[in-house]
Amino acid sequence: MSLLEVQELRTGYGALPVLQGISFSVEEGETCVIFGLNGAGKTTTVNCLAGVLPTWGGEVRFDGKKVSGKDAPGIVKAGIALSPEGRRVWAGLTVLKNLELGAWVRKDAKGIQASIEQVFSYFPRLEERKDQLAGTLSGGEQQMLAIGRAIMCKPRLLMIDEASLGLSPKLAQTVFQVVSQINDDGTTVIIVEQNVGVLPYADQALIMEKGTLTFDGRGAELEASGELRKTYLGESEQPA
Amino acid sequence: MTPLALAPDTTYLAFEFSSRITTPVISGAINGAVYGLLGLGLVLLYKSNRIFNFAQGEFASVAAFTTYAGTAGFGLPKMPYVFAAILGVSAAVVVALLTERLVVQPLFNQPKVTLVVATAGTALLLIALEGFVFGAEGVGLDPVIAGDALTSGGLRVTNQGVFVVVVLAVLAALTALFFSRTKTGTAILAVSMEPTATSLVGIPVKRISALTWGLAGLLGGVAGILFAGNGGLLGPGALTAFALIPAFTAAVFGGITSLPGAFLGGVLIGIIQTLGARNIPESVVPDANQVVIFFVLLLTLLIRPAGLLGKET
Ligand SMILES: Nc1ncnc2c1ncn2[C@@H]1O[C@H](COP(=O)(O)OP(=O)(O)OP(=O)(O)O)[C@@H](O)[C@H]1O
Ligand SMILES: [Mg+2]
Repeated sequence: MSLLEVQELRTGYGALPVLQGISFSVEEGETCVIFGLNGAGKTTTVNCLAGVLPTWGGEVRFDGKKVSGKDAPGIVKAGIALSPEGRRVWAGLTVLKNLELGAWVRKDAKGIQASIEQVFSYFPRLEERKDQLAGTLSGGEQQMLAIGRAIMCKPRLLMIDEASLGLSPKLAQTVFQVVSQINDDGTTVIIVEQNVGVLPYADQALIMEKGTLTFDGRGAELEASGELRKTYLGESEQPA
Repeated sequence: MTPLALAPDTTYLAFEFSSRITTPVISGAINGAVYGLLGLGLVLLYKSNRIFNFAQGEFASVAAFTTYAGTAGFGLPKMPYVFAAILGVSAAVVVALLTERLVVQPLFNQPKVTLVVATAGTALLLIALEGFVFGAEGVGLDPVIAGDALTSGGLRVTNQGVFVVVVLAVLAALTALFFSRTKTGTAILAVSMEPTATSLVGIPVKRISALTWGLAGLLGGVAGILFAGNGGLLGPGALTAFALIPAFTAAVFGGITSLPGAFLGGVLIGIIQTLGARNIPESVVPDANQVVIFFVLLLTLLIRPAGLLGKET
């Protein structure tokens, strides 16, 4: 059984459908990358999985239990956390308060403290700036904080929407390396990306186009298949 | 001049000082404490919903009227003041919660100006209801504690006055601690900054919003009972007419997001208002107590829009 099983998932905004019934599953311990052009429906997918958008049809199972239909707090309690598109850190709170509040659903004071230490070990920058207001962090630091805050939920599945948006290639690589380390430490990861630099870390890769999945396979297969070139450059069947 | 010749002048000056300065400062501080309390509620809702709640004054009136109804009996046995006041504050909390549920939640994703106008509509509705139940002439609510704490040389400080100041100080301190020290207080701030991201860590955003309005209702309710108990007639819309604008000025003066700022702002506004009313002759500026408030509001917005203690959190 896969950790996450998505079947015929449909959702949209108001009367406008976006996801046309997508199905995929993610294995425990793996990193799954979702590629796709702007407007393909990647954010819609992770927001729906996180309970921010209502499920119109289909079903999501997590660890064998149905989670579709739960609201966002219900999903967090089930063990899925999302670092949302655009970071969305609490600008007027300090870095430390951002992390502490991230642990809202947890009651184990010691475990929460350990998670804060762990986030600081992934992102030493955040420890240096722990008393600074989040709104005054650089874009890259805010991205680290957004990921750190999601880690504070102690999820079994961590979803990150646009981890590298607006980051320099070097910082993007740093973030990918940390995500891979988080994955090695036992958390399953879904990461939405436009940056193909993430490919070496992808166990599984999905490509979305206009609300449907056009590729679902191993990361290594994707590299060989030329699908990415087709998607992003509009080229067909040419050697990479 | 001989000292003897000066003597009558000194007595005259002493008399003037007490009636023109000392007494207004004290009675102004007491009124100002109520403005501050009402201002705390405004700041709370501004911090969490980014709106100015025009119904805040009527949350206060509802509490005062309900307390009056409890103490007057209305056919039922008269209640002890304490129970009536608890009933009054509860009524304000219920009205605030209903406002949140029936007005704020349905309109929350509309432009903020729609929401602000809707709170003004809520105030008008409440004023109409108060007039319907209690009549237009107004009623008189007794002070919480009767009697004087101090009378000397033209100075008079009522027990109620002392009580008002103490209650404001305690509530202001508790609210400030609530925001800086408790998880729930921090969560209210978080919801105001990023509602969606806040729900993503498992915080029940709707319940937090209801809680915020409930708290604002509580602060407003206490303010209303204390204000009405200070004397004068309590008519429909009394608190909106006499306290809402000063409370708003207090909140802006204090920096609109600062709880201690609203507290200090309220007391200062109360003092400035009474000083103005006692010292500016009616022939020069009619209704000086109102005009002074607008003057302070304008000056604050012009000179220091961030207010006295204005900064986030
Ligand atoms: N709040 C919204 N209301 C209406 N339509 C929306 C809303 N958000 C997204 N959409 C539409 O849904 C479709 C998918 O958008 P989505 O944000 O999921 O794309 P995406 O793959 O994340 O793109 P990007 O790479 O630009 O972030 C788009 O056509 C978009 O216009
Ligand atoms: Mg997106």
